[in-house]
Amino acid sequence: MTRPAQDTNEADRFAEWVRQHGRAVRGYLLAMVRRPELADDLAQEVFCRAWQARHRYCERGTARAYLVRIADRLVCSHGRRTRRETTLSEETWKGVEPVSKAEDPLKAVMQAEAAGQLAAALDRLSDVQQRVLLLRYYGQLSFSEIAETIDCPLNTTLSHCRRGLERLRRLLVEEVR
Amino acid sequence: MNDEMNELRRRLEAATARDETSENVSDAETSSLRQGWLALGRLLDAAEAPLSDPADRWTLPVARRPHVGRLTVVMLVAASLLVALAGAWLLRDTRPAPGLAPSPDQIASQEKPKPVEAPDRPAVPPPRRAALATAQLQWDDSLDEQLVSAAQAMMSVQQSWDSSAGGFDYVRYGLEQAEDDLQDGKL
Repeated sequence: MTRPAQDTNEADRFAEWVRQHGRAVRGYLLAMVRRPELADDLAQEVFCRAWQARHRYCERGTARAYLVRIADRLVCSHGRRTRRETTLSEETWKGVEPVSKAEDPLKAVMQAEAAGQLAAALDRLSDVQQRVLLLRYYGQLSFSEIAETIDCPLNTTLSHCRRGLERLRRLLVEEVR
Repeated sequence: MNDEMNELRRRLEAATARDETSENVSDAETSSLRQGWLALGRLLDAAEAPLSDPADRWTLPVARRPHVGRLTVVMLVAASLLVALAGAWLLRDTRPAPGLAPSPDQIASQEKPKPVEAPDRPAVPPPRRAALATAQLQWDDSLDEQLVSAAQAMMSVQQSWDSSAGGFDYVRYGLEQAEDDLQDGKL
């Protein structure tokens, strides 16, 4: 195989990988760091690192779980400082995410509103509870994998998940009624 | 304890399953947990900014060029200087009289190069005349000019060598002193 053809195949594989899992990776990062531009930067870093070590993931499980775990490590190393600094109210969140003129304004407003509600709900959870729930949602990791990722015993991980879900149900379901 | 943990794990796996049908929900607690899970999922989906094409946003990492460290550059420069000094050291035997640049007449008045010997007797021209033309060259003005230029270049190299050779002479003197002291039993 000639080098140009090989490079094209590699690029195609990478693009397909990003298409399949880009949304999940970015979703996880955005929920954790709350800043779209930072989430994009971290997502680029996730795919760079994952691509460079792509031969290793096949032994460990699904690609999405692999990518989301890398994203989790990046978020941890980046630190929670930026997220705490950007704990925004709903109105402030609208200022950070201005309505795009190119998109449907109504959708953009609804999206910004949902983002504000999400931020408020996640702030009521502990850091560990957030990680457990988001790793489960975006990475589709098993609880054993989550426990390994966050370096916690399995029973503690399960407790975090249960408490997080109970609190979210009270916040998002009971209080809305 | 294990049974409780296994039971909790089973409930949470059912409550957080991607499949949104209610078949996995078998009890009130699991149903309650699943309500929280679905509410979180709806909020996450609603809060996500749409991506037109994720492949356009993140690109394949380009292979990085090997990094040439500062130390490597310094070593290369030092090696070049050593080669230049070594070349100057070799050329010092061919230098003209100190302070004088050889004139074309002087060059021309020097012993003319001998004709090339027969193949069975290899002729090795002395280093002093290495810069002079061989018997096969035809003398003319352009060649004189070239010889003058070469001689002046050698003079310049010699001067730069002399300026830096002082250090080597000092080291050599020190070594000779040490050798003498060793022989005399002073060390």
